[in-house]
Amino acid sequence: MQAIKVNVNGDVRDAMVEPDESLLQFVRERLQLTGTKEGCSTGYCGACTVLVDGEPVNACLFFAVDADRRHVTTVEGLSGSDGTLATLQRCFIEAAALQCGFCTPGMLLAAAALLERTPSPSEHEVRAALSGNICRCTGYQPIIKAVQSAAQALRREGASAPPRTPQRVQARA
Amino acid sequence: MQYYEPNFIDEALVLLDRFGTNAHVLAGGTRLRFALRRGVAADAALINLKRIADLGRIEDTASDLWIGPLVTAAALRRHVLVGKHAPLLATTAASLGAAQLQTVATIGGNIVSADPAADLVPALIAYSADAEILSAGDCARIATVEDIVSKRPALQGRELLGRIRVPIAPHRASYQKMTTRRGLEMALVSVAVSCRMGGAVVADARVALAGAAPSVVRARGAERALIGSRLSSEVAQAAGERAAADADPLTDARASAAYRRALVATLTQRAVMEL
Repeated sequence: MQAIKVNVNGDVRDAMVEPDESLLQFVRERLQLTGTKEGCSTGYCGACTVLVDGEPVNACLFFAVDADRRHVTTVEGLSGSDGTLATLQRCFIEAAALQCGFCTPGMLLAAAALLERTPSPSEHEVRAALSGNICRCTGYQPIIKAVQSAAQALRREGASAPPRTPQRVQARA
Repeated sequence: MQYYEPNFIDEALVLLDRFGTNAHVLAGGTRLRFALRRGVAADAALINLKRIADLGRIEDTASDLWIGPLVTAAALRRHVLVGKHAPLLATTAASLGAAQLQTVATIGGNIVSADPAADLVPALIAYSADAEILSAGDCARIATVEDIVSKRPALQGRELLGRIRVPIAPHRASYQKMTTRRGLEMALVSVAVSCRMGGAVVADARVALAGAAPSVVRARGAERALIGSRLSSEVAQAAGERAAADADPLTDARASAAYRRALVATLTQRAVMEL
């Protein structure tokens, strides 16, 4: 077992992990953060997408030991501690960008990473950023609309207050 | 399984020497995860390279761009020195899987995995890149990327891939990749072409084919068709035909050998027209 210290959604967590344990096993089974889903387990479907230091990764392929002294954001970290949904999440609901919901946590985090880097993405940029996330229900159009309307809403909010997206990590802990 | 995070290259090489074929080297880990799922020996060792800063740098000298094997596809996409000296590497990195994979997949892993359809290797071969191969107690040896990926496995048990060297020279380059859908896919076939010009004439050319042979290979016939020529649609067509003759493609679940050979001709022609 290997000791790691990971900042997960703003909380510093000390844990012992197996050397070959995935970040997905770590967040779901050790931390009981089950919002992150296991789909294909091979890095194709994107259901397990989380952010490490603000960048999207497939948690199923990522070694938990590589999360040591880094910041991890899961879907639980998008909403406020009182359960208030993030703008991006509200836009997904308003655009009916989900049916079964299994791909949604991964879609949200891939989209959050895009909007953090690219506040005004073109439709092509949205499609490219979500190309690693597969959805079996929606046909994708509502998801793309949701991300575009979230970008618009966040730009409006940005004029008055800082946007509610995962905290940008300045430096590794 | 034992676990190590060496701080220095020499430390990693000693570990590799000690554990031999029981050593598993962790860089980005996207391939290693599959290998480990098949089960590992109880006395296996996982050697995580992440603390070795020397393996993660991008630097340039007057003559060469040096890329550490731990540099990720995302970093290749965005790094100013890569954009300046080896723009084709940035282009190919952008087509490697999706964003989630680009965050972690490394250039060293892409070389050592030696996949016949690897995304970064064609550009490296087109750029005449070579790389250091390190082992405990020995001096670093240099091998061309083409030679490294032609071997199975690409490295021996006690060897570690060091820095990759891309010569800096004024050049024109282009890349064509065919996939079954636009996002996320590995190439059915891809072609990278790099030319050094002497006035309007091609002074030197490299053509690299992926998905067209058991490993990523140079199309030497196509190179000969380009060298000494003035670029034109006729030259592009001839280069495509020669590249198809150079190819030795396989039939698999994704495409037939005949289709791949036709793709080699078309993509090479398009790549030359884009130069």
